[in-house]
Formats: sequence, C-alpha cells, structure tokens
Amino acid sequence: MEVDKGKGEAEETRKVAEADRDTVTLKSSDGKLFEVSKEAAARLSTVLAGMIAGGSIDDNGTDLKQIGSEALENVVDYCNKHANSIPSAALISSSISFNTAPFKEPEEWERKFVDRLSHDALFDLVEAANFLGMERLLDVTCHKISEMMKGKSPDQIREVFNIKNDYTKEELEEIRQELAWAFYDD
Amino acid sequence: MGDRWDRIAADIFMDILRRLPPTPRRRLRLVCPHWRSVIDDRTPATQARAMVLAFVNDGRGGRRAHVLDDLTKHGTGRARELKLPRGAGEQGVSMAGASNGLRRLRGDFVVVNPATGERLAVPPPWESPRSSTQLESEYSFMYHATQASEYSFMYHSGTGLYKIVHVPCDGAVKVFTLGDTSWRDVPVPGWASRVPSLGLASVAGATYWIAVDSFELD
Repeated sequence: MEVDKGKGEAEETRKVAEADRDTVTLKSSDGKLFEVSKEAAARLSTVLAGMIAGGSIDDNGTDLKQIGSEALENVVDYCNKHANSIPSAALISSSISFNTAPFKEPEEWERKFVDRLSHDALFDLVEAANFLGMERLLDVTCHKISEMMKGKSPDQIREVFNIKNDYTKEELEEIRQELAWAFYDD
Repeated sequence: MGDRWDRIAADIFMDILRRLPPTPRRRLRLVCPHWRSVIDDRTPATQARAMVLAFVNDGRGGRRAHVLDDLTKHGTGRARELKLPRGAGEQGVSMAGASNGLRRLRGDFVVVNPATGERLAVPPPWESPRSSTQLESEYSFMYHATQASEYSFMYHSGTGLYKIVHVPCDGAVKVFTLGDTSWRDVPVPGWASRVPSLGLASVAGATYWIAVDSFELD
C-alpha cells in the first residue's frame, strides 16, 4: 500500500514536470529516445516548432520514423550545442548578414561538429536536417559536402563519393571537347 | 555508398553545387550523367543576354559607342548611344570589343561599365617590372589601333566571368580574369604564326585569330 501510494505521487509529479519542462523527447525510427532543448528545437527546426506550437509533441517520445538513431543523435547534439554555445545576439547578427552573403559561413564549432562525421553520417544528417526543416544545419552540412568537392578532379570526386562512372568513353570525350573550347582556371 | 546521392533531394544537391565556383562546377559534368543533368538543368547559368556594342569614329577624332538592342528578325533594329564617362570618348582611347555590350577596355587598362559608372583598374600583362619610360611607351603603343587589336575583352557565358585576352606579336598568350589580381599564361598552339593585322574576335567565350598555316608554307 505504502509503495503504491508513493508510486502514484511520483507519477503525479512527473506529469506536472512534463507539462512545463523545457525539453522535448524525440523517438528515432529504431525506437531510441532523445531529449532536446525545447527552445533550441523550436528555434532551429521549423517542423519541430510547428509540432510544439500545435501540441503534437508526445511526452513519451515524438515519433520521427524517417530518422535513424545515429542521425537523430547528431540532430539533438547539434541543437543542444547550439543552445549552449551561441549567444542570441550573435545569432541575430548572423541572420542579418545572411541577406548580404549568399551563404553563411559555419562557426568554428559547427565546422568541428561536421568534420568528425563519417560520410554516411554526414549524408544521413543532411537528410534529417532537410526533413526537420533545419535551415542552419542544412547550410552547415551542405557547406561541408561542397568543401569535400573543392579542388578535386571528376576522377577524385567519383572516388571520394564512390560514384560509378556510367559514361561511355565517347560521351566523356564529347564533354571534354566542350570544356576545352573555353579558357578554364585550374 | 553510391546511392547516397540518389537519396539526397534534388534541391539539396543543387544547394551543394551552387556553393562551388561556376568553373569547377562545369567540370563536374564529367562525374556522371546524373550530375551533368543536374548541373545543366538546375544550377544558375548566366542570364546575361549579349547585345552588340559598336564603336564609331565621330569624324572629329573622338569615339562614340552605340548599343544595338534588338537584332532579331522582327526587331526594330534600334540603336541607342551609350553615354561615355568623361575622357573615355576622347581621342587616343582604344576600345576592345565587349560581348555583353556594357564594358570595354580603355587604352590605359581601365575597364569601365558605362551603365553604372564603375571602373576597374587592370594591371598590365607583362610580368617583369619595367622602367617608367618603358611602361609609358608600352602604354602609348596601346593607343595605336594595331596594338589594341592584340587585346580582346570577352564574356564567358559558361562561367559568368569577364576575361581580357592578350595575344601579342611575340610572347605568350595571357588571360586576365576580372576579379583576379594577375594575368595568366595560356599555352596556345599557333599563336606564333598569327597575323596581327587581322585582329582578334571573341565569340561566345572563345577567342579566335587568324594564323598562317606553316605546314602549307613548307
């Protein structure tokens, strides 16, 4: 009896805490749960912002069936790091400069954040960021992939990204001829 | 691993490609047919429409510039005169052809955009530092039509870059890309036998000149 009563009270306090707690719980396609700052999630993801505003956040874990646990962990990690490391004033000024520059340069910590990822993890994160409407994270990941392409020959690109060259010799020669007629910088 | 790119949404792929400079991006068409079609169809090609720019002597030693807006079959053939910046229309300024119609090369290596009034100084193409008298004489040579014909100003529609091509009577062909700080040597077959008096022509991003075919002469 004592035990049951205690459990009931605990349940009660947990529910109260969840109602105004400052995190949301996300569930990956393989059923793993991740906690993320509610403020950061709403600020960085248009999709999560919509779900929070619309009350469709499940306290037992909001299902994100399209996102695997590794990618979701990176998303959550990114949100939490963002919440901790960027003062809001800096965020505001960087969003203003976005209007003048075509792409925002990633911050130092964002660079490090994507640098440590494997190719597969990076591409999964691009997909997750796209699905969740995370413009800033998309920017950072796309920047990283474009960096991986810079200064590489088509052969090297195929090698880095493991792309099959399904051109015929004749087709390749034709495109090379096209390119050869203009002055190109190396 | 190769299917990674298939999973990436076309918009995202385009976003990645758009971060690359236009020239290397064009070269990535060689990677595979899928990349070529995305680059051809989805990344920005230049929107600039070439217009014809004509320079005429006004008979009093000055120059006038006209833009022919519409040369299509049903066009009215109207031409309007460009207002040249002060001094640009005076005697001694040589003009190199511009293929988008709005810029030109002046004798003393200034590129002017009459539409906006912007000016861009371009360093001379020779590498070694020369004495000021030598430099002066080089500049004054530029005022002669034959010397001006060694230069061609062009708009490369594949990259959206403006380039000045220098084809001297002797020495290497050099290219200056606006935005760069220096000229670049370009190895070109046949420049040695070029006929200087016939000038240069830049058409659709390629520069042409007439050379003597030495094999036939032998």
